[in-house]
Amino acid sequence: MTNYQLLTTQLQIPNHQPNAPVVWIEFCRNCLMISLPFMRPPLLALCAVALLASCRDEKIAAYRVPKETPSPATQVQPGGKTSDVTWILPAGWTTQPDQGGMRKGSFLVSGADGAKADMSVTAFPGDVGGDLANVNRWRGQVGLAPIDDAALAQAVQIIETPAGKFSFIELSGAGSASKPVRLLGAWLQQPDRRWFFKLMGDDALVTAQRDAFMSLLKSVSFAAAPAPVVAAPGQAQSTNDLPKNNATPLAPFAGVPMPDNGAAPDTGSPSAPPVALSWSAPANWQAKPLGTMRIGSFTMNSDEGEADISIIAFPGEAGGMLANINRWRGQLGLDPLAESDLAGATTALDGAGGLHFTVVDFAGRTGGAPTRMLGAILAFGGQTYFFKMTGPDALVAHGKTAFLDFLKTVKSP
Amino acid sequence: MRNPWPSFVKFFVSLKLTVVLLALSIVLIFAATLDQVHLGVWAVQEKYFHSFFVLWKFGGVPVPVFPGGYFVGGLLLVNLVTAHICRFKFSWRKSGIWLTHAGLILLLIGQLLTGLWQRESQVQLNVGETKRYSEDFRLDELAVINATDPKFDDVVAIPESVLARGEPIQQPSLPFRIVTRLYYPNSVVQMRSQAPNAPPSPATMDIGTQLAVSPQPLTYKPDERNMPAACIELSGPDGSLGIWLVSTWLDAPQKFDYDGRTWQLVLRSKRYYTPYSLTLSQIKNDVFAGSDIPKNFSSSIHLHSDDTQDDRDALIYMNNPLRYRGLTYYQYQMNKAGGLSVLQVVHNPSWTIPYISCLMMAAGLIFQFVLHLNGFIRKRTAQVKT
Repeated sequence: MTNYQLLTTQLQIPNHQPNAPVVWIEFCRNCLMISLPFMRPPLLALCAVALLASCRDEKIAAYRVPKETPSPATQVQPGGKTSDVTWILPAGWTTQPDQGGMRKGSFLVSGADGAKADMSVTAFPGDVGGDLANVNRWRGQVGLAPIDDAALAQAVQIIETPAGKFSFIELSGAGSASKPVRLLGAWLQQPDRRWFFKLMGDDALVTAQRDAFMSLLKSVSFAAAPAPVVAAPGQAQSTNDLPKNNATPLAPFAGVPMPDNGAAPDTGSPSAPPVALSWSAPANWQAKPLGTMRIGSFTMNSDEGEADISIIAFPGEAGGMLANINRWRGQLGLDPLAESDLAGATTALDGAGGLHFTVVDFAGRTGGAPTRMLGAILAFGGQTYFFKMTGPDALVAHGKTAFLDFLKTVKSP
Repeated sequence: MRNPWPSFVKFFVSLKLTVVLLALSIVLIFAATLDQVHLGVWAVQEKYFHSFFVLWKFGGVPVPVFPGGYFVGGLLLVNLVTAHICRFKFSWRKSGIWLTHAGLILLLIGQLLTGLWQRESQVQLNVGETKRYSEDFRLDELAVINATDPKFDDVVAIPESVLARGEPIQQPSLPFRIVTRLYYPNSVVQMRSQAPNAPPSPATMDIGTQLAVSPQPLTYKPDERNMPAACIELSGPDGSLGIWLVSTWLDAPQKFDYDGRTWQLVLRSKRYYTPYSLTLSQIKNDVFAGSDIPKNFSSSIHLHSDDTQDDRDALIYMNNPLRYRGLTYYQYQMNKAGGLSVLQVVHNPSWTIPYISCLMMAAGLIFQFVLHLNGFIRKRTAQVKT
């Protein structure tokens, strides 16, 4: 019996007119033929197949592939990130991931009994605060007290290599976990930037790897001139307009702009010092990815818009209080202050553990929209820390108490 | 018992069916267009058009709520074909029209097959680098690699969707079970030293212990991709081996030894291996003289097949792709400064169908035109004679 016949037998309607049910059922049949095709066996089968196909799932695959041979590019340019420097990696050193995207090279050296040492290669514009600030930062990492210029001159050796004259320093101390650590650090000044090579880890292991470190330094070679840039490094330029829908940028990317925005590991890099401070953010601040400079990064959302909260640190005075405050004022379209105006424009805030903040609250405009900025500057441990909240005027004004309370949670270890 | 065949045929030939299906298409396109705000182009295509049913999840169970693009398009095709067969009477005078319609049907079939079979991926190559695989634009996989053999890697590739389900994964070639303890479809990974307030990590092994991972909202933007992260626990017969943090943020595989073999774990873009390798020999980026406007991008590729049948060079540039063993390699992106070229790889076994169908339609139309022209000329000639 077909579905239709089944339907007609079930739908025996009281008939006042002999043809009425037939007409009605004929009408229903027509409707069913169009709107309820699922009643028909062939269509039911078709739907079942279609439904199964729509639930198709990816399967686990197992296969064998020839081992990948590292390309020449990856052998001499670890991570394939730069084309401006090459070196020969000592035997036994392995490339390790660089989550921060700041390192030009990142290696792990392993020794007996789980001993480990971390090698980083970084480069930053300018002289990055000078020799003394950088060496004192490294000394802090191995648990040594800062030194002065005279002691620095005694401690630094010059190493001649084909790439140029490296300044070299060797430090050993108790380390943070009371485990002897050793640091081999070398830097090379170029006209536009400074290169840092740092090997730090287990005292005995680093001592044993001293020759390997030196051989790496001697193998360093820089490209004669940077190649003309077609696209920003880390991002390739599209050469085809067709597949825009799938146009995915290269290098790390996520729901945030990423090329250099990853979290920086403790590279010993001058603009990303190890966080010597801790803090606790209010519940309505959401953490977001750190930039190359940031050591803390949050966002605060409400109906009034979105405010950005950043924490950065620089060695030394970072240009001084006035220059930085005027830089901030410039970002809001405000006129610079004179030295004499500084006292009136800032307030002092005493935080936990004797930390002393200089706080500013500026209202201006960015892109025509009323914008407010709360800023706090803190000098601590040879670094200057900058805390800043920027966003729509009303939102930042509402968030001011939370920002000031947040500053009070900032603690030194 | 009544023969269902005539009603079956009548249903598919019906013009009403065409109208209903066209109405459904309109609703489908309208809904998809609105949903594009939330999902973006790619996800909308997958959900509404590259599917037989639009599925909504109720309590985690997918429920079909509306016919999808394949269903509506497929039925339209069947409708067109059956109407063509039942209504058109073949005669040589109408063979042109018949051929044109057949070409149109073939074009529709070609589109359906392209939607079903087409796969797009990319190959990123540094100058001098050799690769024998392409990577998916969107999909990721957890690769568990037995790297003991000095010549080969035995790979078990677990799709991200399987990982996301959180069920224990037991694969015959693996001496351990894999259980997902934590899974974020999009994430950000930071060094712990940079995130002093991060909650403790579930990871107990390798670099995961030094990292803090936090979830991020899913992105549907066409120029971004999600960066998943997962904490996976491996368990052997003697208990847990530890919990590893894997993420597409971490490039290098994490290594460990177990059962006398060396293993590697890495969450990476889904790979499609080929029985040949490509080496990027040289890249060129020409600009128009006196400007920075790109004129031409080209990649010189050396192709070497495993069966040694092919060992040759190829030049890939705009509108001049390399077609080889069912794959087409287009010049896609380039970073001259970084010595990097990206090729888009398209796998589309039905790529010839549109060409064939266009030829059929053209031939049909020409035939019909010539036939009518011939008749017209004869008629005129006859008129002139009389």
